[in-house]
Amino acid sequence: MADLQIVVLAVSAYVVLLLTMGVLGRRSMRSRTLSEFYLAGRSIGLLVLLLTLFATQYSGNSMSGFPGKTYRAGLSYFMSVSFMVGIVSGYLLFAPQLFARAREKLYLTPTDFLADRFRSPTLNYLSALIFTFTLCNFLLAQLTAMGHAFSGLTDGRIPHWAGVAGGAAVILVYEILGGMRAVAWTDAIQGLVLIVGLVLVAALMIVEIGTPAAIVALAAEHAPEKITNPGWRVCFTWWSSFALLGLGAPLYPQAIQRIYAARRASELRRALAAMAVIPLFAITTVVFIGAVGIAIFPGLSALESDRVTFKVLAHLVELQPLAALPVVMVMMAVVAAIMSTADSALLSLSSILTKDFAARLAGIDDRRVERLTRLAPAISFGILLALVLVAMRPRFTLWRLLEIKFEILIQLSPAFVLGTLHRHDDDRAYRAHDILRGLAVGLVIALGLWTAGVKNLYGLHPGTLGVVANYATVLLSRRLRHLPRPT
Amino acid sequence: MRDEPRRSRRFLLFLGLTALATAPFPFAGSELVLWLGIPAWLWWSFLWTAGLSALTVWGLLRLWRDEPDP
Repeated sequence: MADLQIVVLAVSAYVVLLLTMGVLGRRSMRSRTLSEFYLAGRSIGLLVLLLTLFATQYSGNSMSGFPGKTYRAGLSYFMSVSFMVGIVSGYLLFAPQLFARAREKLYLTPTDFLADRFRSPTLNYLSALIFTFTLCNFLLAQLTAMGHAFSGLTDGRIPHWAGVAGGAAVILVYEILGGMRAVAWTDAIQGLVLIVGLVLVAALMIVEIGTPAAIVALAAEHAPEKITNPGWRVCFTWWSSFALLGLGAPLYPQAIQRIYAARRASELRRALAAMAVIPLFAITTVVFIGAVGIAIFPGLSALESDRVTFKVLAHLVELQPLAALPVVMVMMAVVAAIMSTADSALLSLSSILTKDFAARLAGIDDRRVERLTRLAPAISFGILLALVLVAMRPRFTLWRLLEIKFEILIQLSPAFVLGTLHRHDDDRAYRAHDILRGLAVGLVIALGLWTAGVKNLYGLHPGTLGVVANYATVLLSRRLRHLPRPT
Repeated sequence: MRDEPRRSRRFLLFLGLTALATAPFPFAGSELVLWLGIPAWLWWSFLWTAGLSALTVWGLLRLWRDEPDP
């Protein structure tokens, strides 16, 4: 696609930059505590917070999966811009209280809040298991995508396995060196690369192919059915997707830990406000990559359509050879999106295994938990080694199981949204058994439907149906508890 | 962390956004799309989404004022 020497030079410079951030992150560490390693000493300011939230939320899927979906679904997928905005309104349901509470009680992991609020070992272990499953899944997907990206970027000269292992090694080094501080700083760089990459691809599409209106008109000529009214079933799927993303995405452990790591509530609020505006540019551009695909490459199979971003970029270089350099930048943006999500997931996973499993199983109290700081790098290394071995064989049989992670994660929504409504000692507070009953019902519905091969029911995802039943069960459970007993 | 009035407004905002974002107003039928013309239709869809974004920003800045900075 682009000159290999340019690609190798760009990748090398990028890797050196990331490793330098790791070294700088280590030098900036004020102490060797878990809070310093995993939450950057709760001192992340507005700009870095915004860029790390942006880079973490926009994964490889946003850059290559969204255009593929637009290609298949048509312009109705423009609604994905609203879904990404909706995630921010999901934060508003619990983040203000959670931030204040985290400052008071010095939480480290998402489970720390649940342990403090509900005091139930069963809920602690179950939620830590769900977070671990979600993060393993997420990390595995990013590692595999990283292998594809490096391989695609170099026309296969870097094989898939080497892309997975090499990318993972780089992430591991800067993360072990500098913890959250290094991850947040590299995320900031990756976020900037992502923004510049998206600006370049938008400019290239307008100059070489046409204005958005011209692109849509061209797409309408080739596939008029993709520019029409979406119908009620698609609207149901939109509703379901909005609920899944709005309630689920703020629950990613790495997202919750960024709430903990913010320096001030006002900075967190402003960063999230900016996150509500960014999709207007970022996701709109990504959707138009899919629209260009409809116009230029009609008749792609579902599998081929997932590579439509790379096809469009290659087409831009064919039209304008001078576009090779900006296209390399865009490809680097794809790699940046993947790496920034992977490093955040790895750090979060390491913190959960250290604090929620190792510390709790060993019965180590909060005063002595800092001794586990030495364990953190070893745990990160162990996780990454295991997942790299799996990612090198992407046809691993667990893949299908891994597809459902988001629909399982969302079942923890009532624990955070309803859990932050009251303090533990409030009479009106939801109790652990209310949450556990709802969780059980939600998981049975989501996993049951999914196991039965039902990927959606009238356009609704199993996870959405599960979470509706989950909330209803929790509310009913508390209601029954408060009914006056017969005398 | 007490139950306070602003919390119910946050729930309302989330539900309102869900309703507005998932109603097919920007895609009110292929006939309307053709009648408007593609550039006008694109602007309508974009401004609709920008309105949702502005509503979210308003919600964040307006309904997240009760927790003082530590």
